[in-house]
Amino acid sequence: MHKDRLVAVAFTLWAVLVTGAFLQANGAYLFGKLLERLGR
Amino acid sequence: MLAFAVTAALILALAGLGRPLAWRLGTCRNGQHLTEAELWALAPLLGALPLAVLVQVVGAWRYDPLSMAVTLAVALLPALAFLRLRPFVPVLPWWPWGWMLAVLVGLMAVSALAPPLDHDSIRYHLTLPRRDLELGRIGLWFGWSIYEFFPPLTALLTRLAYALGGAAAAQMLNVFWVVMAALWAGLLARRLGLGPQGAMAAALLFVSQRVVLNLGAAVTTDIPLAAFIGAFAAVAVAGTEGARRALLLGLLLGAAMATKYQGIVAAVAMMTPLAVLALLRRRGLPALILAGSVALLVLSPILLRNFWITGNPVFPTAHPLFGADNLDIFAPFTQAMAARSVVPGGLAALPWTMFILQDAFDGLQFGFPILLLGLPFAFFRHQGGRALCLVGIVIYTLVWWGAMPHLLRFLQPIFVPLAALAAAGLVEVAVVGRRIGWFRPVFAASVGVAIGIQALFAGSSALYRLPVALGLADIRSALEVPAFQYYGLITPCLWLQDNLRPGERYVAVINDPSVYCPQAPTLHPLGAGEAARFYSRGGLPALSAAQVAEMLRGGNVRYVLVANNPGTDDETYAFAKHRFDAVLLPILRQQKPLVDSASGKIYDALAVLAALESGIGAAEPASGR
Repeated sequence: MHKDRLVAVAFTLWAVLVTGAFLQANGAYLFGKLLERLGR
Repeated sequence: MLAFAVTAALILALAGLGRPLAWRLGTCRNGQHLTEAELWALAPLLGALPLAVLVQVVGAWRYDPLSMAVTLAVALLPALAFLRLRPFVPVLPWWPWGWMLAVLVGLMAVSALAPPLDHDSIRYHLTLPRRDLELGRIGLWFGWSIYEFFPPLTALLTRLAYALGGAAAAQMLNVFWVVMAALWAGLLARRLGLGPQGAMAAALLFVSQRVVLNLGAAVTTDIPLAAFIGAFAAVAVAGTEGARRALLLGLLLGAAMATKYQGIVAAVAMMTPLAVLALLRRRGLPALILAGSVALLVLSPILLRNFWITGNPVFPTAHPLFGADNLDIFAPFTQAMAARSVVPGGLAALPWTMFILQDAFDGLQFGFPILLLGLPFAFFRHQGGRALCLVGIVIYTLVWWGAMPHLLRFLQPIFVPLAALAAAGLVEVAVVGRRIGWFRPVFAASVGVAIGIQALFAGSSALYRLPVALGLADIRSALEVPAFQYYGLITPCLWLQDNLRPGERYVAVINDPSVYCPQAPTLHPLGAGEAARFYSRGGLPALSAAQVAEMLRGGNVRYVLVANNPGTDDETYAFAKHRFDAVLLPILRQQKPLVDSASGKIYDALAVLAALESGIGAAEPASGR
């Protein structure tokens, strides 16, 4: 159970870090592309 | 519908040719049996080797729809054995990943019906088959392009599909390679200890990478290469001992190397951990040496062919190694890429930057970094196969970083083991989620964000091709957009196709050919014996106006095709080009084009020739004084 909790906490932190970093680096581009597609 | 029928027949032929080999080499007495699913998945991969040889032999003599139809009919004969077999129908857990997979592959299959809409299919993957079809045989033209000297295994199968069903069939064949690579991602995941759901997730992870979504419906060599490397990884994890297994591994590596030069790097990367392990255990090394020898044997006809024609067995790569005066053919491209891609943190930060800062390379090729999300958690459980795959991935990535242009799409050969490992990590985490209540929504939200973002990429790729595939948009409107303004050449090419009469030629003042143009009637810019010099440091001498005029008149040139940006490309030596630019461009600026479009122009070559000759006439008295 202790190992399970460790994995759960580690994944949660990792997911926040990866998702946050990806969106910070590419969010503006993705949003712009989405608006471009919707605006067509 | 023709594209579907041709692809279905091709798949049957591949499976029929490869089945006896798969069963013979995949079953063995030492308990390392492959599963029935693995044997069936091996059959088309192994069948690619004899079918490609057949296409090459027949095509070198005669390449047209009739000769290729006869070739395919002969290749289908072994598939008659399927009539006597009980059908193999695996029970698959379709919900939820299988359905997502089916939707993505379905979108790709329909998208493949659109005319070519991607950079490299337009430039060479389909241009070379079209040229060969017009010339009536599959040939090698030293000095026409560098691409025809690349390993031709799956390019030959593309030619077979193209001759019978056009570009749509060639693209549909690539969708089949996507399915094969995804299948092997699933089968590798099974070998790495995952259940059927985990295997489906691994297959989905492969297909949902953005570069696969974008290029699945095009023609590529990267995706079949990924399938061969994925199959190699799965078979190697199953066990490497015994002569039959060594032969099987060797054929898979040989096929990978015969598909694309990067297959050589991938082969070395995947073999290295196996060799180290064999050395440490003092067991299995002879089998690996046999596998390597078989792989080299498969590749050797290509190396010999290239050496015979160009003096360089791996032409066009490493060209300076095979002649003091030989040019580094890729230098303009690699230098341009190096100037464009500045990767923060260098090699140390690469495992992070390649997934997060994808724009520092060649753009968002992975899309959302779900591979990075799952990868570290694959190793919370000890499983030898996972470590083997990881070492192979790391070695390939190091060579990619050190010796290749930093294009993330060149990492596709290792996408299958990457997807399988990432799926393994996500499954490990999901299992934990079942036991810890608060974690379930956290995990679901993480995966949900990934699915949402990749769905946007999938939708974007589909929107790009589907309107043209379904006849809702014209190919001209799809290609006359900023992304294609420099190489689609759609309007002038279609005009040439309609107006060029038999025996007439056109001269191309362009950066790269377009598959939409007739290929054989271009005026070839190199004279006899000039090809080797074209790829040398000294280069070719500039042509004078009089020489260009003579070539135009002697070649019965009727039109001049001009791109919007001639001479501004990075891949200067990819095709024989720019030979006429310096003489013709100043004259063309004073001419009125016959066709003026967003994708390029057409000029009357007779008017250009008259202006050229009047200029020469005016210059002659001056030079005579």
